[in-house]
Amino acid sequence: MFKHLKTMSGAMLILILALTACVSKASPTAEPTQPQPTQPQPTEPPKTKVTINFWHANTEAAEGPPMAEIIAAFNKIHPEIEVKQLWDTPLDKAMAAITAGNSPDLIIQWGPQFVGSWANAGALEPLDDYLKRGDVDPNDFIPGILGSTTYKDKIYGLPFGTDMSMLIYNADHFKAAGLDPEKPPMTTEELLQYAEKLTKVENGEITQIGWLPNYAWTHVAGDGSISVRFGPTFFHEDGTPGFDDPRWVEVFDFAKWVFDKYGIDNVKRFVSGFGEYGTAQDAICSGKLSMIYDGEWYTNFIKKNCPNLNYRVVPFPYPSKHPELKNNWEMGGTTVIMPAKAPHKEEAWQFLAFMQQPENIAKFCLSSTLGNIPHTLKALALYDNYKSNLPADFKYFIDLAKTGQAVVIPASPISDEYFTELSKTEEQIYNGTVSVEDGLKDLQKRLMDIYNQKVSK
Amino acid sequence: MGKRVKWTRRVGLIIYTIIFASPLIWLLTSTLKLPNQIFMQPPQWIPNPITFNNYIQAVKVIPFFTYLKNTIIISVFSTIGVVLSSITPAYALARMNFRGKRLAFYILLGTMFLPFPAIMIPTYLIFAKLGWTGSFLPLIVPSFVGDAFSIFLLRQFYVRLPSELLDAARVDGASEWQILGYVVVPLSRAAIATVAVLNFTFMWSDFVRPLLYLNETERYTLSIGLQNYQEHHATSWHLALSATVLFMIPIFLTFWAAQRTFISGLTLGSLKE
Amino acid sequence: MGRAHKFLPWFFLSPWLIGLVAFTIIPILATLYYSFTRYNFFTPPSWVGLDNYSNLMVDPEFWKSLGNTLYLTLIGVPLSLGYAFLSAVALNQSFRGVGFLRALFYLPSVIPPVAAAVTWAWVLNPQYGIVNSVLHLIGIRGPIWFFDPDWSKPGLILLMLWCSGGFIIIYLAGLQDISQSLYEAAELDGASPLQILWFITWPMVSSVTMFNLIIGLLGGLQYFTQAYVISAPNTAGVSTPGAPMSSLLFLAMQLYIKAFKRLEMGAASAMAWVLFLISVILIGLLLRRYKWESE
Repeated sequence: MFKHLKTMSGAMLILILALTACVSKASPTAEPTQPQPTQPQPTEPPKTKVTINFWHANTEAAEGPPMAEIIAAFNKIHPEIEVKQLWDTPLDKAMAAITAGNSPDLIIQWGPQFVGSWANAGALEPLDDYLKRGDVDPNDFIPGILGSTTYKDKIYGLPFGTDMSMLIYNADHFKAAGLDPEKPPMTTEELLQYAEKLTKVENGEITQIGWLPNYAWTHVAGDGSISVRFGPTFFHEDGTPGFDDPRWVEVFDFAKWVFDKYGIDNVKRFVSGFGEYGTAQDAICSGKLSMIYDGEWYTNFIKKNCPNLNYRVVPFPYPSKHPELKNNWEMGGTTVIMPAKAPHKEEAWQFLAFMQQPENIAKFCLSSTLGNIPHTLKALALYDNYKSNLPADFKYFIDLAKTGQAVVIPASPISDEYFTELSKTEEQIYNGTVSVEDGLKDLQKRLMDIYNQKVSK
Repeated sequence: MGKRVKWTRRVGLIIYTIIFASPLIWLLTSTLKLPNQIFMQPPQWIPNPITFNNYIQAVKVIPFFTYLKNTIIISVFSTIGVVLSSITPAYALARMNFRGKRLAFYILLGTMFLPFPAIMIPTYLIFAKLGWTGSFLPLIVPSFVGDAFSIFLLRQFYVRLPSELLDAARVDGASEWQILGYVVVPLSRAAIATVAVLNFTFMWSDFVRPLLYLNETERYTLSIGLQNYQEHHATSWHLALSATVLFMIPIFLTFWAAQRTFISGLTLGSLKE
Repeated sequence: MGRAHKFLPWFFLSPWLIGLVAFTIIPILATLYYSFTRYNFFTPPSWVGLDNYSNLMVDPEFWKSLGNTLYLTLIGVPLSLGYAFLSAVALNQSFRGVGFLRALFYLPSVIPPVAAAVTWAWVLNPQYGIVNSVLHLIGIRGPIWFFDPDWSKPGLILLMLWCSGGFIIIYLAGLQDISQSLYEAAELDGASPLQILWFITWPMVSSVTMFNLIIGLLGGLQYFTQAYVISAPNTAGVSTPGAPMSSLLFLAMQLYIKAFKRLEMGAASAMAWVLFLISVILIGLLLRRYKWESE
């Protein structure tokens, strides 16, 4: 009589059992949380084998090979700590997992911008006490770089590689436009003059464009930023946003030139036809773009995708008003943090401290799959040991890192909104819907509102 | 209607159909071109040479089969769940008498029109507190506790079943369970198939829920996988478009096989009695 | 029905009831509760009264997203219905192979929204897309579609029209219910095809229109996936949500970002509740005009 009922519920049961079996088998193996000591333990290695989870934003192809070497060396000293890695995990996915109760022990992410808001939300473990132990020397870090991960006088993350941008341009385009490829633009005004000569318009359509202020890794602020050459205030001493600084007007007057001159619709139309950055259909490789302000990895791309390109690498021009800023560069790169809910903080620190040794930093940053700038002076000095991994012009980036003036955007709880609102204002300025002055005034007001809301205590 | 008018209408429709189908044709021909030929102006209509290399590349660069496997698992299990959990409520609402039946039906109608964003956050939090986020469970388990639209569809069907059949069975002394199992379910096989096919297609194509609940790339479904790839490599059209075509193929096949079921499902729900 | 156990209907209903409580009623009430708090998940919610709502009222992003959503819902959906109706009329012929044509029209609505969105991002590509290329052939310089704040939503509406196959099929079914005699009588009276369409065909499918309208409006208010797919890539140098110029920022998208990227769950819940109220009002109004059989 209940035949069907039995079969139905039996089937459901089996299904649910099978499901839970499938799911639990495939679950990431974070260890069950153990009671946390409130002070960091003394440096006596624990006896039982511990697995720490280390999540990377980047791909295994890029960071995997150097990490494998570092982990192998680490395990010689600490055979009881196993490092398990997860790749391709950007910030919001990491955050989602942490909210679900599945926290890793270490996370390595692009850019230090998230540190301020995460620290403000209580999601990060301060590292000051660990640093006091002396395994890692904060004074060896490039001066100022820790400013990007310091929030309310506590250090919440450690950089692991930084980036540097320079001007890379197509020498053949220069020649065709009547410019001497060995005489690059020195000032920002010259850059725009060159850009005008290098941009070709046929029948009302752009067919080649000299320069773009917002393509790929070129930004007004944050990674490959143009603004470092103008020296505006990012944040005031008290933590409020600094867009009331008149130097921002100079930055945007410079940046919007392309759109004013050729019409934003025409530029967007042309750019919509670009192939993917970093591939053989890339704007530079396919000859659509003449000059690009890009990072130290870019020459590696050229070598791989269009090795016959005749290019040069030079420092980015400075405004003739501010020659003293010509060696400024903005520090960014990757950051390693320890979540506040990490299950194995002690072991995680052991590994992090090991990673921060000069030879390991050099191994990671200067590997042929990655190509970043080491963030400590001792590691920078090891460049010669690794230079065969990378194209010869990588040297220019290293030299500027050693001798240049590093600028850092301080950690802020509103860093996420800071960059989003800046992008919005940037878009409005380029579209011509608002003047530079009005746009910046409005941006400052919006950010102050956000700041006051978030930092009301 | 004059014969000429008839033929004009026919030809007009055919031309209209071709225009309508051109995005799909354009999609297909684009994927058969060499990468730099995609960036040609004026565009080539017929690829020359024809290459399938983009598809091979796409499958290598995007973990297509992993995504396919995940999408199948989620779609199949949640379809089973919906079918199992929709039959009895639909029958109760259609053919059983109880106090509050009308209210229950109106509530059902109401929940059919509930926008997902209105419950998104707490539902996510429930799953987060259970520790289920990151797994397939949040995508599958809710199917086992009824889907309003499916219940409604089946209910509409059951309401139209001839009473004589059911009354005859009751006169013979059958219990409601037996009526359900021996009479109603077999009769409603087509409607159940419709519910299954519609749910399967919905879960297959769903984007918001996998976006919310899945974090690791090994767990991604095809929707998320494709969007994720396209977000970071939008202008590698030869790969993104090939992946799109591959993504559409299983749905094409399902549609081909179950055309009538799809269409009858739509009309089941819409016709006013 | 005499021997039926009194509780049996409730047992039959139980799967649905569990889901109703757990995944509908509790979440709706919880959303309401959270909308009065400030909650970022890492720390417990703290009560802030109506602050989230008052902040929302002065938030330009909220109004933008509301405007975009209403634009798509109140313009795109009726256009889709009109388009679907006319397509159904065109498809309401009978000859060999018409079934195949009908299936073709239905197909895009079955395609996963992500796939359809990627397809149309390519179709409407300013430089190489088929639409602009065809326009170029007849001497028109097409707009830059998804890169132009004024043309991005119209582009989405085109996508919407292309995917209105479901509506077309439902209209077809409705059309086929109209008896031929009506048409014959009208022709005898000398009515033109256009007059027949307007005065006979369209009113005869009004219940179908109502049904489609409700479904369409519901979809429009929650519109998310296609806009997310199209505006997410950082092409042409912009990475703000709903780019270009927030023209593709919809309510559901803004909600998602607020809740899961900014972790402002309280504020997002306020938005969710507003969306809920709008849906209830709009659809409630329509439903009252379209009564369902209840027995």
